[in-house]
Amino acid sequence: MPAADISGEVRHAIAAAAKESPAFNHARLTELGWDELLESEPQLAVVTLFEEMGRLRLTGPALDSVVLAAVGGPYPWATTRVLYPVPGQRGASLAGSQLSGLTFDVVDETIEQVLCPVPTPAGIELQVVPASACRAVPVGGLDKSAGLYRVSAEVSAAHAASTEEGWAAGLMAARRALAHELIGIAGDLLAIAVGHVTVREQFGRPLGANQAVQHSLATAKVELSAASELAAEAWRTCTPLAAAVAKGMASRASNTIAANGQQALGAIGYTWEHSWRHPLRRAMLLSVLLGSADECDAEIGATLARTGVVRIGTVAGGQE
Amino acid sequence: MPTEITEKLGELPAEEFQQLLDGWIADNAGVLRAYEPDESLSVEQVTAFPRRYQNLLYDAGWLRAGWPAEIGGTGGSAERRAQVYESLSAAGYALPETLPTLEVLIPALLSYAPELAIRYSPAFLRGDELWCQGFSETEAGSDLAAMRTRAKRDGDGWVITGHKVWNSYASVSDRCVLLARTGEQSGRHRTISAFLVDMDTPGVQARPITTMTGRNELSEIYFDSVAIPADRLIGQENQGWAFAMFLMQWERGMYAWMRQAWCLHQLEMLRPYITDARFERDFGAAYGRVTALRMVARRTLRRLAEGDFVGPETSVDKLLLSSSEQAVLNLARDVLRGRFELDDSPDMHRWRGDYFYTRSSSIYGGAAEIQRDIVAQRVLGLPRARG
Repeated sequence: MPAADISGEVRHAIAAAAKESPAFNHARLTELGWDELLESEPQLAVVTLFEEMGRLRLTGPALDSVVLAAVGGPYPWATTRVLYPVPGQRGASLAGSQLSGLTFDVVDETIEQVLCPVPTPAGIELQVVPASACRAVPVGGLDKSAGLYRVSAEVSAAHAASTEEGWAAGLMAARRALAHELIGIAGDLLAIAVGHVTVREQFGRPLGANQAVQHSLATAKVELSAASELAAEAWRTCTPLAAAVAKGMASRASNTIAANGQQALGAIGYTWEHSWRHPLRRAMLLSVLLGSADECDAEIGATLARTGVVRIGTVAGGQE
Repeated sequence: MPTEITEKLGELPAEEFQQLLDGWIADNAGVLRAYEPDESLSVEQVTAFPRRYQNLLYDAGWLRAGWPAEIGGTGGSAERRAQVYESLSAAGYALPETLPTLEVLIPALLSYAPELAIRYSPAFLRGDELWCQGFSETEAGSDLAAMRTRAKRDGDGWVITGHKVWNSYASVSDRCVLLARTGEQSGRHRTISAFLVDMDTPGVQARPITTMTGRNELSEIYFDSVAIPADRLIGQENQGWAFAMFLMQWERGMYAWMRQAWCLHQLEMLRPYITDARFERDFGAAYGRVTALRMVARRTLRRLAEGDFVGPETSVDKLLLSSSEQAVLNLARDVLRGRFELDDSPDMHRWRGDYFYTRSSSIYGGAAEIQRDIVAQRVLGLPRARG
């Protein structure tokens, strides 16, 4: 079956399942055939699922499957959770022997281990912590519907074991997937704003007939196009640099669309009643996970200042 | 390189072409270094100078690849040209200043007036001639369709009267691709035609305009009853607007590609000055934006090479082009502060020149405001602005 058809079918199946519940846990994703698709068509799988996750604001541990596939090693997705650094951190937070971070689903009795990126003097090291040592509490905060858990674990030498696998591959894969999720949300935000200024009239004409409003949303569209092209390139050029550029631009695009769209919505967008706040809050949350726009820029700048400017892709590359 | 290889360069696959190209650039470092741009040169000196540079690249076969044999090329995809421009930039060499004009005029001429292209563009491609574009007028800038320069039928030919402005290199050009009114003024874009006019025709007078960079690269051109033969009409009568729109696509594709290649080299040159965390962040941000430009330019270029007509979404490319260049040169000004303002070294002269030059990229070829109008109305589908 051509890729476009598979992608269409997957989108359809996701949308149908999302009507029941936005929580896509391991069992429901497995039912959708997620494991096989991720293995046979990784790009199509990730692009399709994560853009839909963004657009429909789905939750669940799909990102773990992507990270685990990239990291490799003997950690089945069914029984493993990945711990993600809290925004602003590059690895799990450490306070004495207490390690903490975020997971995209509960750590219950079905889970045997949690894979944790732990900062060490040598860099970020992936450690395996037994699930029994972990305590998971649902996260409230900005977006209660995101299905995040704050996980803390008492780590001792007896518990934690370092892995052969590095965090870099997992981070790269996770950033790429999050870039697609953000592009999905940003597309939804832009559609809401465009819809509003098309029908809402003042001074006898639609808001969107005013050049100031048009230019603000056109600027948002430019950012979204830039983010989409960079996310696509991160699959052709599979490097941590390309993934950081993609995540950084996706975060920046969603920030711009959130700000410009908010203004375009006027007072109605300021209400609790308006649906705008749902994608807005999800975008605000995901835009700072695994590197905000500024953090990605700083990381890219520091790397390139050291290594020299890298030209991502070639003119003859990028064929579909 | 042996002639038999030069003659088939265009048809080589991308990888093989790239290997030969990289080898040639490395072997000719000494020759290429002689063509470093020098901001202190006047436009008269500068245009004599890239013509020699262009001759060199042409004779070596690199400017012939990706162009059809009818105009002196060796065939193959336009992507071969993009490879040449990128590789020269990546190795730190400036491109001949004449190339951007060539890259928009020749593809459009080949499409709309193949006979004129075959007859005249080989000399342009070789670097023996320089051409300019005659589009804008004092009362027709962003509103190009308001142009008043008129071409009247006169027996077998045309007589052109009017005034053009903001024409790059016109004062030193041999020919001009001109847009002129060939019907009622009220017909706006429907009554415009395109012509190829020799700059030495009696009645043509070009006067250089010094830009804020300090160089006189722009011009204004007066046309005082300039008689040209009928066969200098490009395409059909009143097809000028379609021709101009076709031409603009190449400014989005190939020109944008040239500029991203150049921007990445500018970033490379700024690398030694990236000494603190704030500069690192701004460096990363500028790099990300240029890389986005690189991706959209490549996509547009590929579609053009395949013969697609690219639509209003390429206004996104143009907006990324201006914001990328400006981000890079804003960073340059920031990290070079002190030297940028006070030094008279050739380096600082060049950085200042490039800084000011990049201010024009959100104005020429349709100002950023026009591009945002197009994105809003024709991509996002917002209602046309009124009043």
